[in-house]
Amino acid sequence: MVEDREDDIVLIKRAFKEIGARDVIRVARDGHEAVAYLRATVLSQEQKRLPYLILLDLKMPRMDGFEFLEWLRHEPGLEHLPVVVLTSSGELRDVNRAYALGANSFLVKPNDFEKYVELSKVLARYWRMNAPASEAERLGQKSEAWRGDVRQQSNGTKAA
Amino acid sequence: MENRELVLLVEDSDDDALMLRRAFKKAGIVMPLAHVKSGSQAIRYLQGAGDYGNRTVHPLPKFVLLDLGLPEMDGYEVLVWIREQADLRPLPVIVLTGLATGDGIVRAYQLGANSFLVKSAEFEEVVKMIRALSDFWLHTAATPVVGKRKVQTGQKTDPITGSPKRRSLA
Repeated sequence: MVEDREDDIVLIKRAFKEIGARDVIRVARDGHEAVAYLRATVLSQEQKRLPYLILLDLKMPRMDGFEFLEWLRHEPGLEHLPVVVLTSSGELRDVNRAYALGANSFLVKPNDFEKYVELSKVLARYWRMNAPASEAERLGQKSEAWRGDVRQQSNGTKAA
Repeated sequence: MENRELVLLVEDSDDDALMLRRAFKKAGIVMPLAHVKSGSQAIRYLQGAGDYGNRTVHPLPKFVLLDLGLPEMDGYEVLVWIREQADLRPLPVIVLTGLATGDGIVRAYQLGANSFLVKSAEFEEVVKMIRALSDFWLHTAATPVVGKRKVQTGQKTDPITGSPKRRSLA
């Protein structure tokens, strides 16, 4: 999660706990911190520490979400990681720009906890059904269907 | 602004398309599904070429469901083509395929796929997947509005983002 606002970090973490998701949520406070974390992960070749999903705020100090997206989509070894924007503005201009820069999807931050829980549920259920790009390289040339893994994940076992 | 209350399905198998239609229905999705059977037909649809020129009848989709194993032009090539079109670059493309390899997943994401789903052969599993897809894409996520824009030639920056053009991965 790339987010500078403490309130939003707490809300997402609480919402994930509420729905029983055991995903480890690692927080970077701005784009720079996220870049540093991902670079270190690649250098250490710890593919397992790559996120299966990046939740990205757009308005942040130093390096904002758009700049982070541009960096990520040109970074070998990381360019394929799924990014879901989670931000307070749903202005069409921002939505189109984020998708054009390579965001995988775009969510607008809810305004109360109940809605955060609902959003987390939908988000977690959907992205766990996706074949995990973060693990794909590690698992390499395996020509097996992903079905088994995907189903296991959609049943609520760990996906991070 | 274009009408986009439609999902474009690119799938060469009639059986698979029928199964998805049934899954959409069972999941209670009312949004229409337009079915094209090849990559080149998908491109003609998105370009609005020939019979597809009438955008009232053939609106640009809210998102594309793309099979990878298509005859002639495969799903990866369709993806590359979509991402090369300035006006279609933000369009969400969800890969929906029967078989996936680690390489295939990474490649699809690198080429600009928004999501990568593996289709089960079991109908109930497909329904479950379509339900999750609908909850996320139709009821939760904000999606872009795509359509023809006047694109000036010779521009070094992207007309939508104002940023330098993204590297072509073709």
